[in-house]
Amino acid sequence: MKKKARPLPSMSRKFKNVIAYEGPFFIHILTVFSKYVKILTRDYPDASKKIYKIFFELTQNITYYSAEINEINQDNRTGVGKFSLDEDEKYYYFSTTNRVLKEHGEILKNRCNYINSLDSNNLRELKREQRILSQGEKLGAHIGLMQAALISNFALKVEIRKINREYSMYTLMVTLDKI
Amino acid sequence: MENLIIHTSPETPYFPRVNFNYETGVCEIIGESFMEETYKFYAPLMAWLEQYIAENKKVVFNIKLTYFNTSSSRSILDILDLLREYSEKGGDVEVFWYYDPNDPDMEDEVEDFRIESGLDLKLKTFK
Repeated sequence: MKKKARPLPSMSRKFKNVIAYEGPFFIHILTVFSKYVKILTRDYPDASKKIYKIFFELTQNITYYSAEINEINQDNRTGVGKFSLDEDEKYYYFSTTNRVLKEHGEILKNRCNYINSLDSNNLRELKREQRILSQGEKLGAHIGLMQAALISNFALKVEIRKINREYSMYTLMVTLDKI
Repeated sequence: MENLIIHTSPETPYFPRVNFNYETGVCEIIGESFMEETYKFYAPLMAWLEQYIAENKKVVFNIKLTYFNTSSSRSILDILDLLREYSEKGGDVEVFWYYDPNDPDMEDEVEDFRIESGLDLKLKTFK
């Protein structure tokens, strides 16, 4: 059974930031940060492995899907957003934030709620079904959120904040036991 | 038919190392796989395997990935599906999945691939 999500780091003063970044999510930038994520969490080896996996799933979602784009040239464009890894005594909290079309925010929220409603076995089954059904081409397997929920074993926490009539900011947070 | 060899480099750590050997039939994917546009990387691997199995030769497929993103997992499943189809037609196929026993999630991951592909994936731990 998945455990309940903890509050977002911004809601408490007890959280300490481990590492954070805001800007374009080019793969070379993510690769550099992933190394620091590994180093900064190495005191908790199991959690460190899990964070490393979740780091790429969630940051690469921003690469592909953020509504804010950074474009160097036609062949070199990527999504813009931010990530933050925070911690307290018992948990790590990994969150990503990016701009989405307002209607996509609601879809994402509903998708996370559905994922949170499933136990681990049903979620694994859904992940297998989705992976087989996905086209597997440009935008991947569409199972990153499920994978993040399975790895963390906590419910996903979602926050949608309206920016204007067209866009919202979408924050997704994953909680991980340190031990 | 030539061997398929892809080296990894510090500039491209998101590509795994690939060594598909035509003479021995031993095919290995090693390292990490988290590139963008995954299918572009895996398409030549699929093409090589399709050409290779057309000659009815034995395949020993070793997956030695310490990390792969879910996008890569879709391409890995395509490879496993191809090998299962070959096996069902009488082809000689063995697939070994190497994993870190200290990775808390990899056994479940392999079990999911086993269910999805219908292949008998043999688990081995990294030495």
